[in-house]
Amino acid sequence: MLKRGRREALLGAVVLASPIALLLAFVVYPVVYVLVAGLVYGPGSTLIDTLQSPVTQRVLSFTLAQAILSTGLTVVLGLPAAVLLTRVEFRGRSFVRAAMIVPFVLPPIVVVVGFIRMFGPYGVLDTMAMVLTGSGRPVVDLSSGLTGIVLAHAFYNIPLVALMVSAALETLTPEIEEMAELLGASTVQKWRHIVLPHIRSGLVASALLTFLFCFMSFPIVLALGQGRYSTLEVQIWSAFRYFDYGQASSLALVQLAVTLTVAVVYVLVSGQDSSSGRSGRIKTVTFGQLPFWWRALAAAYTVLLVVLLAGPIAAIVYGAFYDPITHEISLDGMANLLRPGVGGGLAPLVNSVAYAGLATVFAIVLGIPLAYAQVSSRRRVSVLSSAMTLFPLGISSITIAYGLMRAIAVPLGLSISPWPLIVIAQTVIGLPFSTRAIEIARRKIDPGLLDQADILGASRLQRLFFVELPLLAPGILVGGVFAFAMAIGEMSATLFIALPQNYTLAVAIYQYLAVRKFLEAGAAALVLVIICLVAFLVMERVSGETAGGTI
Amino acid sequence: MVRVELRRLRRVFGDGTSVGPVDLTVEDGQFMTLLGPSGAGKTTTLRMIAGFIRPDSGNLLFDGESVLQIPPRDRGIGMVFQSTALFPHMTVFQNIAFSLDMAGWKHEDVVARVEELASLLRIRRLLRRRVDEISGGEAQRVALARALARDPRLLLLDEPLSALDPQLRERLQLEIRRIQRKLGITTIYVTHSQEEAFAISDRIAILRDGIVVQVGEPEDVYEHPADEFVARFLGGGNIFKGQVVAASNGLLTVDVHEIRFEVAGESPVGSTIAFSVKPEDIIIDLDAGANLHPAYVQSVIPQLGSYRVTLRLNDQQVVAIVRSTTLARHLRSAGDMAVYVGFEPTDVAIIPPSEPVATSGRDIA
Repeated sequence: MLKRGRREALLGAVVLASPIALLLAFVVYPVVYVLVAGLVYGPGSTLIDTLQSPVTQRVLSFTLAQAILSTGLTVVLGLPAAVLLTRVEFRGRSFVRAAMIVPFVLPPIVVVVGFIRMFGPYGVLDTMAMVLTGSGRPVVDLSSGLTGIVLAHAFYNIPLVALMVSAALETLTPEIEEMAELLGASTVQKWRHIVLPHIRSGLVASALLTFLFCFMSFPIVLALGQGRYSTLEVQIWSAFRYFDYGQASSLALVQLAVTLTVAVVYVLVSGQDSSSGRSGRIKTVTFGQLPFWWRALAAAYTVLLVVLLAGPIAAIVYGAFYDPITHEISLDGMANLLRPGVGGGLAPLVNSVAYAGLATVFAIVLGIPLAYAQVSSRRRVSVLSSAMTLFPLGISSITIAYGLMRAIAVPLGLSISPWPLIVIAQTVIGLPFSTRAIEIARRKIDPGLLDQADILGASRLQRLFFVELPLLAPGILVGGVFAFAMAIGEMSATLFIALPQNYTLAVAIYQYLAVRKFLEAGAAALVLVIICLVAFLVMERVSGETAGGTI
Repeated sequence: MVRVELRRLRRVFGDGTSVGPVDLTVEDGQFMTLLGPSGAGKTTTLRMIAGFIRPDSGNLLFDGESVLQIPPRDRGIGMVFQSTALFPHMTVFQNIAFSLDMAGWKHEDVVARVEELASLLRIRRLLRRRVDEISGGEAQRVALARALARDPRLLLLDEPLSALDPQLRERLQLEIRRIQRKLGITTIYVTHSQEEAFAISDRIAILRDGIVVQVGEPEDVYEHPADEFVARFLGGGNIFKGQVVAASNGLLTVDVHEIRFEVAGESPVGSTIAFSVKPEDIIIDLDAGANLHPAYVQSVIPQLGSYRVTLRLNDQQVVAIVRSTTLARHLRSAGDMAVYVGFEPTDVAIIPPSEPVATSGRDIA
């Protein structure tokens, strides 16, 4: 008996430890290696050179400025959405709330396509403006430069702020607010002294996450900035392309310092959140009960939000069939997806599905033990596992790809066929999401059920296969779908690593955009949108709560 | 402080349930308790008085003037919820000071007032604590201090003690009563516990399905329940229901499940009546006798200074209070043997029948 118990314990430890070991080998080691190697051996600029260079200073200040601007705009636009979603009853509220997750899973490069076709020259908005002004040339361009970057970041993160703040608002019991009213607080005083302090940690946490995402944003800056604007992430990529490893590593170090600081603050802030669960009742009003001016304001705001959030997604559909250069409806973009050979869309499509599929399998296989380690009663195990899972979120994809290329590809001779590295990078990027979904499902399992299995004589493996895994299945499905969506949309690391024969759809879109093949880009983007929508529907169907909770 | 009048106050909810029309007058300085089972509309009535729920019809008068158009914060009301609704991100001091700060009091005045209240409620040592560091009973004291901070003219208490354990509840009942007397503040208290209502109130209003069915002093309500519902809800007596088979000289013979009881009162022969007999008025004898009927002992439970005995008389359960330890011991060992129970005809209270209520009310808390 004892022997069997000990062998199972050992097996358990190996199973729990192996993903951590793999993450150490394929994430931590490469990142540390390139940082050290780049800084110590170069070749290229030294850390001091890099820090003193005016280019670095300009890039760093632009990176910070655009991230702060984007975060500010996101919070300003996201906060009213949170209040409306929580406090105002309207038809379709639960659908809107569920659909808020869609922008988050859309690949950034797809968002770029949507933005160009919605807000860019000859886009939907511009076409309307051109008709109104009678001008023959584009009059509105909100998709390029700083405006485009900031708006696209807002598109991405408004749902995040809205969902996180709305979750915080939901924990405020109506009695607290009624009490404040009874004790003489005016509406403004009530918001200032009661509601804002209540949602403060949720608001700060969502703003920090937004800042983090914007700070590390790559495809949006690269594609909408059109080379005139460069962030740290873009600069690391171009330094690597010019073999200035010293500069790439120095910049990666600077970026890491900022992101890790923000990440630590984020963990501290979100750890403070002591609010207890959802309130049984939530104070709501129906739309009709609002005073006229509020209704007008809410309606105007909603229109703005619909244009900003749903507009680009709708524009992708339209952009897949409408050629802005020839002004014709055409199926050429779609046909291109099935065309083999150079420049055709078939190879990227096949690559995308294959890499993302493999990455999803790995993300689940590694995610299950990681999720178990996170719910472990031993604090050290759970902390190590959460840190390892969240690590990729704090490190930019470009840095990971850079590490993989120099630390793994060269010694293993993968430089001429680097596709396994793409799968690794996509696994690492999908892993936090698959692990989180599985962890949530694991926490929901009633421990009494597992005790029952033990008492009824199941061995640990029998218990795992016959009791736990079936109960985990919905969580695994949600996690897998989420990981697949993140992997197939991944562009930064893939672009960094891929040789032309390894291009995925996301990379292909970027290439098409660069040569103004809008139809081809639109069609490929549409495929990714459809994949993400299907993913969203699966997540909703299986478990709405889990899908939201995974963010 | 203030005289509160509810005049046919009524609210219909979207799901078709309704509360009211409620008619009730609370005199200046009076402690009035709204008592009723859950769903009777007590909390809704209280929330209409506070102004959180707008009535569809009827009027609400404070000292003779309608306050329906006045928002809650200007009605001069202090309120305490069962959940306490203390502001979680503030200290005890900040909670009590909240209404004073909102009104723009000077800091030294705020400090003086908070300390005065803290002394009144004996919570001075808690002032610097965060609200998640105090116990449930302390939280209720803080909530009460906060409600009293700006000298409200009316105090509304919505089941403030329901979540507390019985001993603490009893202590806080006395405390609330002491403070209410001391301040002379008009108070409306909601509870579903008749014990609590009897312990604390000047007057009790009993609600059923959104309607006030009886108002009176605690003894009054206990001794003379207005109808069968009140009698059953208060649980003070054994209720019998039967047909009058004979009547002479103010003495009725009533047939209750084929047992004939003699009852003092007036009612025509052939009518159905209900009457109640209080547990302490039930006579138990081990031997048969005149006007005694065979019954079987179900349980004998010791309680403060007496025994509570439950018996089965035909199909009816009867509760009696026995003071004699010897009798209690005999009853306990009676087993399947019959004992004999009865009551004096004059110890009976005849109960008017309950009127069926057309609309059903619902508590919205």
